[in-house]
Amino acid sequence: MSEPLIQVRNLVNRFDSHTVHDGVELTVFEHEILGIVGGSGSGKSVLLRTMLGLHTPTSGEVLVFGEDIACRDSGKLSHCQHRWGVLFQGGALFSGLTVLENVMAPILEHTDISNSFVEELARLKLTMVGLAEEGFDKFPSELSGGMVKRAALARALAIEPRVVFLDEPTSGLDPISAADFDQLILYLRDHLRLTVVMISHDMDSLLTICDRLAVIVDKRIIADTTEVITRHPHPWIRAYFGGVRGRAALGAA
Amino acid sequence: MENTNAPSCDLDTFSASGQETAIETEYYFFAVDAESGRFGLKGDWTIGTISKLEGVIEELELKKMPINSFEFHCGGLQRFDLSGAWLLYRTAERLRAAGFETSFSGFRAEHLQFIDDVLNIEKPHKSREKPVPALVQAWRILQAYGVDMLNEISMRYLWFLSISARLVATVLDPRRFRLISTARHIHDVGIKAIGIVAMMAFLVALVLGFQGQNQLVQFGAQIYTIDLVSISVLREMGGLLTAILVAGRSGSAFAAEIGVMQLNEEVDAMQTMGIDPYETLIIPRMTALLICLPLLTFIADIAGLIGIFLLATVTLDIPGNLVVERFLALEPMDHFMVGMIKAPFFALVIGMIGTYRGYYVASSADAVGRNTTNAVVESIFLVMVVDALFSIIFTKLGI
Ligand SMILES: Nc1ncnc2c1ncn2[C@@H]1O[C@H](COP(=O)(O)OP(=O)(O)OP(=O)(O)O)[C@@H](O)[C@H]1O
Ligand SMILES: [Mg+2]
Repeated sequence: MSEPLIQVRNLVNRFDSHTVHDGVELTVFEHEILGIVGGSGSGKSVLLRTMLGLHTPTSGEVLVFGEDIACRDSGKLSHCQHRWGVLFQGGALFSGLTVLENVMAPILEHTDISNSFVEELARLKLTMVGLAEEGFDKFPSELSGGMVKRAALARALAIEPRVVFLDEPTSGLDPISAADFDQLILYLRDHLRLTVVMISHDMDSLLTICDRLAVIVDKRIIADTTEVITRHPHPWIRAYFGGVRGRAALGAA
Repeated sequence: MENTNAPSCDLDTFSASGQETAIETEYYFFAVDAESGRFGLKGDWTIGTISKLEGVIEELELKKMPINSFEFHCGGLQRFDLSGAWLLYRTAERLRAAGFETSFSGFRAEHLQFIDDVLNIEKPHKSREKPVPALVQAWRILQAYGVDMLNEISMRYLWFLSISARLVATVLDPRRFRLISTARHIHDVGIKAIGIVAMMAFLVALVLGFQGQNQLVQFGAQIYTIDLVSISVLREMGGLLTAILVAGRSGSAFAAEIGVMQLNEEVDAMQTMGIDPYETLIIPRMTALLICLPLLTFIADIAGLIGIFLLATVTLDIPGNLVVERFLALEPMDHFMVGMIKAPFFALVIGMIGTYRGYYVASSADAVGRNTTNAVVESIFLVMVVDALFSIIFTKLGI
C-alpha cells in the first residue's frame, strides 16, 4: 500500500434538508482494488459522482492526483480527466458510434496519434477485455449486457488511465461471466498497474478481488481491509456480510 | 510517473554522426545503430508520447538498413504502457515480416508484462478486404440507393395502409378508442396552437392585402383586394399555412416522442404486456390531428377574413357593409369548402409521417434528431404535393 491517489476529507453532501453524506473520509491508495459498499440510497453513486467532479459537494475536500476538485474547477478537472477511466453502470456507450469508435473517441480526443494507429490501439483494448472481433463494428444497441460492460471497460481503459472507477461492473451478468469479469479486473490491476475503485453489490467479487472495502453506514464511511470489514461489529455490516460468514463457517466445518 | 504528456522535446534536433552513412541516429525516445542493429528505447513510451514516436519510426525506414537483425534494448525506458508496448511490438512485427530477425533485451519485469500482454492477445489487426473495382463499387452504391428508396416508399405505403385500417377498425369498434389520451393530444395539437395559427393567418392576410392593394390601386381596382385576399385565404393560404405550422409543431413532436419511447424499449414493453402500441400511441395522435387540423383551418380562415376586413375598412376606407357585401358576392362558401376539404388529408399526411418517423427510429439518440427533422421536411413536402393534386382535380372539375 503506497501513495494515496484519492483523498476525500470531511465530505458533506446535502440535498435540501436530506443529508446523504456527513463527514465522509476516504483514501484510495495506488495499485489497490477498493470496493464501495452500502445500502440502496446510501449515497454510493453520489460519492462516485463527487470523486469524478460531476457533483459539487456541500462542503469538504476531494483530492484526486493531489488536486482538489471539489469546486469542479475545469483546469484541475482536465488534469484528471485523461488519467482516469469510468465504467458507468449502464455502460453509457455513445449510441451513435460503433463499439470501435467508442473506444477510439477518448484517444482521438486526448492525443494526436494517427487515426490508423488509434484504431489498432482500440482493437488491442477490445481484444484485451475479451470482446470478439465480430462485435467491433456493432452499435451499442446491438450488444448484449455483458458485451456492453466489456466494451465500456475497454473505453474506460482507452487512454491508459491510472485509476478506473467501476459502477456495479458485474451487475446483470451471469455468475460465470461475472467471475470472468472479476478475473479480468484483477488481471488488469496486476498487469497495467491500475488502481480500481468499484461500487458493487456482488458479494463474490467484493470478497475475491477487493483489497479493501469502504462501507457507507450512518452517512459516513468505514473503510478497512476486506478481512477486517467482514468481521466488523457494526450491525448493518454484520447483517450485510452475515450470510457470508455463515457460509464460510459452514465451509470450515 | 505523473507526466503522461510528452516532455517538450524537439525531434528534429537529432545528432546523426555522419549524415551520409547514417550509422547511428539518435532521437529523444530511442537511438538506432545501423551497424549493429541495436535499437535502444529511452524515456517514455506511453499513449501521451507515441503520437510523436509513431511518425518518426515510420520515416526512419528501418527496412532499408543494411543489416539483417534488430535488437530492441529496453533498459533505458522510463515509462511504458500498453499502447507503447503495442507500438514496439508492431515495429518488430513489421521488421520480421520484411525478413529481419528481431530480439528484445534489457527488459525490466514491469516492461515484460506489457509485451507479454501484447503477445498473448490475439493480434487485433484489421481484416483487410479485397479492393473492389471502382465501377463495381459505383454500381453497388447505386443499387443500394435504389433498393433503399424503393424500400422506404413501400414501407411508407404499408404504414399508410395499416394505419388507415386501424382507423377504420377503431371507428367500427369504438370501445378500443382511447379517449383520455386523444383528449391530451387534442390539447397539445389543437388548443395550444389556436393563438399562433390565428395570429399567423391574420398577419398573412394583412401582408397579402397590403401588397395586393399597392398593385391594384394603379388600375383603380383596389376594391378587388377583398376578392384577392379572401379567396386566397379561404382556398389555399388558411389550410396550407395551418398544415405547415402543425407539421412543424406536432409532426416533429410525434416523431420525437415515439422515437424516444422506442429507444427506451417502452414500445416493446407495451407489446409484451399485450398493449397495442398502435391503439395507444398512433391512433390517438392521428385522431387528434384529424379533428384539430380542420378546426384550426377554420380559425385561420376567420382570422384571415378579420385581417382583410380591417385592412379594407381602415386603409382602403371602404365602409364595412360594402366590404361584407362584396365578400358575400364571391360565394365564399364554395371557396371555404375547397379549403376545408383538404384539411383532413393534410392531417393524414402529417400524422402518418410523424408517427412513422418515430416508430421506425434506428435506435440511437442522433437518429431521433434526424428523424424528427426529416418528419417535418417530409410532411411539409407531402402536404404541398397533396395540395397540388387537389388543385389539379379542382381545375378539372371546374370548381
Ligand atoms: N440530484 C439529486 N437530488 C436530490 N437527491 C438526490 C440526488 N441524487 C441523489 N439523491 C439522493 O441521495 C441519496 C443517495 O443516492 P445514490 O444514488 O447515491 O444511492 P446509491 O447508494 O447509489 O443507491 P443504489 O445502490 O440504489 O444505486 C438518495 O436518497 C437520493 O434520493
Ligand atoms: Mg447507485
